[in-house]
Amino acid sequence: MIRGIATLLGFQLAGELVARLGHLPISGPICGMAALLVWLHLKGGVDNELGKVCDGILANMALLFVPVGVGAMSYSQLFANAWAVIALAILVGAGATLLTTAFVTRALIAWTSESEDRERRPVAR
Amino acid sequence: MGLTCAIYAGAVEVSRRSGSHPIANPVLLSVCCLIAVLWFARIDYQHYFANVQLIHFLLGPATVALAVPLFRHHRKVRQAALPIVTGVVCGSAAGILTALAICFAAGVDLALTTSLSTKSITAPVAMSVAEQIGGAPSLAAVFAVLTGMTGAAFGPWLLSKFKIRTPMERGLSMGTTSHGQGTARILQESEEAGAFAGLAMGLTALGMAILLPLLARVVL
Repeated sequence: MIRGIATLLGFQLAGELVARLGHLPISGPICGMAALLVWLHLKGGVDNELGKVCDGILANMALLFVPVGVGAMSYSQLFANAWAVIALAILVGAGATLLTTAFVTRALIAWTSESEDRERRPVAR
Repeated sequence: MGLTCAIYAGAVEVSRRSGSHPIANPVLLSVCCLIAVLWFARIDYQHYFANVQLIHFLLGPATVALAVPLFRHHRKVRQAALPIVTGVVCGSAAGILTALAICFAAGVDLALTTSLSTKSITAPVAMSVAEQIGGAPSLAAVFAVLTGMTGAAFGPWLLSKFKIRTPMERGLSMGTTSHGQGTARILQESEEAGAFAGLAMGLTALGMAILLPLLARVVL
């Protein structure tokens, strides 16, 4: 438990250091996430303790954005003025993302499997 | 402090109870309840936030923790790396561009525009990205949650309408659009779709966290 938390905090700290010292436009926790991903690949697996801690945090992740979400109360004026734009952007944006992702993936899968058939690769997928 | 804890415990209870409804979102519900309570009790946000700092602090480690599900799905990525990555990147780009186009057309201010551009990223990452590109973290979090809800509520219907049926395509679309909430929703359809959604969510977070700040440097 403690070791899992320490691992996460350690990677966050490392990410923070790299992002600050390197003047990267990426935030510390994201650097930490990338670093942990690389480290997991090098190690070849997620150890039990880290896995448990991560699953625990991620299962309750929704809770963590509540404090910041409440901050929206400071923007009540903005919501009153621009609710139509916000609603439109969210609805249309969500629709566009959904359909684009699905169709681009489908098209490319069809395209790659076709070229594989032509090369007659014996590898079964 | 005691009051803040009590309010928070109440909000947790509310979100637990609403957990069974896919449309009634726990985060949105607790946020609304808390705003109402704070408003009635005349407590300002700064005071409230100072007391829940510890919960807020956990967002950092939670973001780092996202690496674990991403790693667990890495075999699936290798099998179809090109289609998956291209699909997710094009999907995110489509979402950002349509949101930006609508914002520019409506002539809303820059802080709102940048906060809306991060709406398809999972909330903790959206917040840190928004902060970096000059948006407001709390707006970004609210938009991310609203987008998550929208996608989770209408996504499966829209995908079926366009005859998108394979678990992979459905999962990827839902994860790219509605991050955690989309993943939870599509997980009800199948485990496989859920895994792809989790993967798409991680890819979107990682990819956009790197691309958006760079894009903002060029555009702004």
